[in-house]
Amino acid sequence: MKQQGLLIWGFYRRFGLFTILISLGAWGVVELPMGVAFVRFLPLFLLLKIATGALVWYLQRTFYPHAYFFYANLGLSERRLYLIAFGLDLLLFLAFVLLVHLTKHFV
Amino acid sequence: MTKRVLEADSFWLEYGSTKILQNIYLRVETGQTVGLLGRNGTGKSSLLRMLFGTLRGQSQSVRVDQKYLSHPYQHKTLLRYLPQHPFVPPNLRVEAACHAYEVPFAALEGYFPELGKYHTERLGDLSGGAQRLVETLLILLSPVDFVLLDEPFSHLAPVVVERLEEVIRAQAQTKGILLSDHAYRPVLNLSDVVYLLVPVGRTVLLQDPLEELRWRGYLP
Repeated sequence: MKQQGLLIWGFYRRFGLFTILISLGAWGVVELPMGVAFVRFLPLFLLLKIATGALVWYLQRTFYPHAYFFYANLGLSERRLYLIAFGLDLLLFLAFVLLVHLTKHFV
Repeated sequence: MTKRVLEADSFWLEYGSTKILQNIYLRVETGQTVGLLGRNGTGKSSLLRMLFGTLRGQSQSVRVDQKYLSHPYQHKTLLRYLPQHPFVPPNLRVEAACHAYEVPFAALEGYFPELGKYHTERLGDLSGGAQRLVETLLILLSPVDFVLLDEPFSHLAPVVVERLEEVIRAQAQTKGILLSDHAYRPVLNLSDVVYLLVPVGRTVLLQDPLEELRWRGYLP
């Protein structure tokens, strides 16, 4: 399990910086909303994440079509691999927003 | 040890109006090496990927011990596939790749002592030949029942091919190996059974491989 987690993390790292920067950029463009304003920002943000996810998937498929076999040989389907990676991406962004929120609140 | 049988038939793969595979039968048993030959573009790689389960055609049937499997690769100890092109992430170290695939590095080194120095190297930093050899051994030595090898001899020097043949022979004692390569001599040397993939997407079981390969125009 730990081994599989590390491998998925390795897969995510190939594009994670790009997707996190997109998330932070989008959040910055709408002036770092928090609380209720953040909840209102979420639907548009999720649409952006789906579009970014599709772009990442397309680029990976185009430029590294064989890389996926490494994970398939470990029993991981492409769909599961991307879903976990994008879930992780979302979680990291939400954790960052929460951290900023708590820092603002308590400091 | 109980013998396991991997069978494939009812494959139908077409892109638009172009038929790739349509009349396939393949059978691989553990303890056996099966060769798959065919001219460029006849669909060998597609056939291997459909067998592995990552490529879905219009129809396919892959069975192990007569049990139908929709996505064979998701059965962890069943089979592994060596694609034609590099597939291990280039930033991964050799030892980490071995660990992920449950292949002791010592086993690689046992067959090819010269690989010992690459223990902590990243796959992407190795020469094309060394990278191909490491990837081939990762698949071949994996703790699974069947391995599918797509062009395992490409990028390798003849002397390395000869030693790799020994590894394949040793692994074929316990595994079922499906081997596809344009280097037909090692394929014929190693194989207990040989299939030829002919247009359009049809497998032919060869009774007298060398002779039939000649009259079918695969060999000059």
